[in-house]
Amino acid sequence: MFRLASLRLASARVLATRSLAARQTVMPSIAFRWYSDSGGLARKDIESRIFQLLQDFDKVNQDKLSPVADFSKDLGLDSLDTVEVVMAIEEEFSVEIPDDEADKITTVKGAIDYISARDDAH
Amino acid sequence: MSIGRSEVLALYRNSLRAAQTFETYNFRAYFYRRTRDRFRTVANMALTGDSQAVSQGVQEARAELSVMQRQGTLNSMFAHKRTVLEASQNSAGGHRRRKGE
Repeated sequence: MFRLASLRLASARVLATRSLAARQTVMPSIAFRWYSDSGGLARKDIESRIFQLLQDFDKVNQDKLSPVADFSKDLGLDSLDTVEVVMAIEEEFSVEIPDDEADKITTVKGAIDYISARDDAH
Repeated sequence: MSIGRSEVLALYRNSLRAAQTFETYNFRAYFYRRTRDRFRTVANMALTGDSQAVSQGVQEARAELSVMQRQGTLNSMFAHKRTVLEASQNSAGGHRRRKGE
């Protein structure tokens, strides 16, 4: 009895999904986006915004500014300056970077990688 | 007692964050600048190897962090007039400038 009922239920479900699938093919697809979706930042955009930010920073050695530059070795920033740069990046992309993650960002590439990995960056 | 490098950097980060919570432009810019100057001084003291002065400087910075956090919250509870400077989105942080402005 129970087995029969479950069988009937299962078949009903199969039917339901089938008819749903059929209906979906008929229905026009509507483009929509969740509010929680990622900002969809392109790597190039991130790079140019971080570059702009570093160009505005007085102490940065502008000649050596490149996507692979190291904050301390190439750009001539000390650890305090690096904290400020990371804070500026947080503000630019409206994210909050936790302390242990922020300590790991020591290169321009590292910053770009981190921001592109964050879905909530805008 | 020696103070760890990452601890000081975390303190610096928290202090800058606290400085940015002020709604009033003048307070925000002032505390940001003050925090920067304070830590710069402490870093210079660390370079000369004056550990006593460094630990005292960090102690003061810790005390000021709690003051800034409290006052920043308090400041946001009251109405404030936006300055002309803040009309521009780019200078709202009180410390950042963009080229061509």
